[in-house]
Amino acid sequence: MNKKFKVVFITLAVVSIGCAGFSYNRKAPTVAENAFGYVITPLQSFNLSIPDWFGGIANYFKGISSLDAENKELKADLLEARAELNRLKLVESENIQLEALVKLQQDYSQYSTIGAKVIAKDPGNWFNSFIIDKGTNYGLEKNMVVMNEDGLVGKISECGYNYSKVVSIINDTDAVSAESLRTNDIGYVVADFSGDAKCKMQYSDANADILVGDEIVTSHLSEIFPEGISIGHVSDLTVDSQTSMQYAIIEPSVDFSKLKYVLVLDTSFEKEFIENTTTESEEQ
Amino acid sequence: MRYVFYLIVSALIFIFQSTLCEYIAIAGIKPNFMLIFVVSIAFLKGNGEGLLAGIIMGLLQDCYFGQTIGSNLFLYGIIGYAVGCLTDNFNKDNIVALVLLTFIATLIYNLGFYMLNIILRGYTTFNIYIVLNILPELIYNTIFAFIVYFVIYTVNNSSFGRIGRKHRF
Repeated sequence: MNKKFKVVFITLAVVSIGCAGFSYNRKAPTVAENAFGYVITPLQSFNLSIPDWFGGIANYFKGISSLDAENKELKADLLEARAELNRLKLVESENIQLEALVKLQQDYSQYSTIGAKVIAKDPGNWFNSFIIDKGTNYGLEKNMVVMNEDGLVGKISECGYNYSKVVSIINDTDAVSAESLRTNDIGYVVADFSGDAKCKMQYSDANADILVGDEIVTSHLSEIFPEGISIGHVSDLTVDSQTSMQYAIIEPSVDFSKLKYVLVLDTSFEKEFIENTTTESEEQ
Repeated sequence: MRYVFYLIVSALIFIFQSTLCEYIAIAGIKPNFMLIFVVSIAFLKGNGEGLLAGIIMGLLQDCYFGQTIGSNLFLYGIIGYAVGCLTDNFNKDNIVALVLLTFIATLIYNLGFYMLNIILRGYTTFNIYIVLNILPELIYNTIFAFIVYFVIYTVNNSSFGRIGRKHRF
């Protein structure tokens, strides 16, 4: 053993033990340690991120091969989600329409009512008759009233077993007895093929006070239609040059080209109901 | 066999016309595929089968939608028969002739429908609104006549059409 080695060994041992004794039970790192830590920490984190970076590149190249499959998968998912979204939108709009029908049903609770769906429309461009999906199997009959949340649509002209033919008021051969909501002037609404509005009200009373914008509803004189269902608003007043009859051109409240759900009213039910209840009370 | 085929195809076109056709309507005016079908059959197959196709189509529309049966039966039937008679000596590959015939047939059908269903009911007004109702349908029918005739022509020249002809003669 040479002398130099001994000196180093002992010094090292003393310094080490001294350091150990010094650092025993201490509260905070020294300034030197702190400085060192301050410098080293970013480097450490940089070093730690290098494997991540290489790992990332590896994953990137690994990913390309699976990217195609993943892309297809996501596209399929997107398509599915879009279809689902569209379906939900449809359901929502249906829900709004059906809600309106339920409200309407509560308004006419004295009649028995049934909702129906429009399944086919007239193939031609002249008329607006259509087919609903319920017939005699649900107890529908001819001349029952068809309406939607906006107003009067028409009446049933024919009943099959599982379908009914509905003739709208704007091309019916029969007139609808009507009155002005504001002044109670009576007239009748007939079809009109000379303009876009498609129906007009004829009234015989020369003193009748009907103005543009008045709401026209079904009158109490009608046997088929219950009183007070909205038909439309007056959009123009004319006098026929040949017969000098007065007409009010009516803009119908119902958009006949966009009908989807309708409500069928059975007006005969009310009579039966009243008869039944009166006989019952008499018996008691 | 061919007549059963006519019946099935007519029913399918009728169902399409009364349901899905609404979605290709522009400003509420639909093209009339039923009329195009009748004209095409009459053009290709002559007056007898044109009359038959017209009667089937007219009856379908009248029974299912009309308030009285007869007006469409008459109009489709007479158009099918007349087109068949007129085009007896025509070259059946000439699509321009068919498109022109569709144009004229649409005009005649709409004027006839207006006369039978509206003027006879007592509405004697005749104004610009009628033209506005007929004119878009004229244009649509003329365009769609190309497509419908192409389909019918192809089917007619396929093995199915030839089998029918062998049975007939």
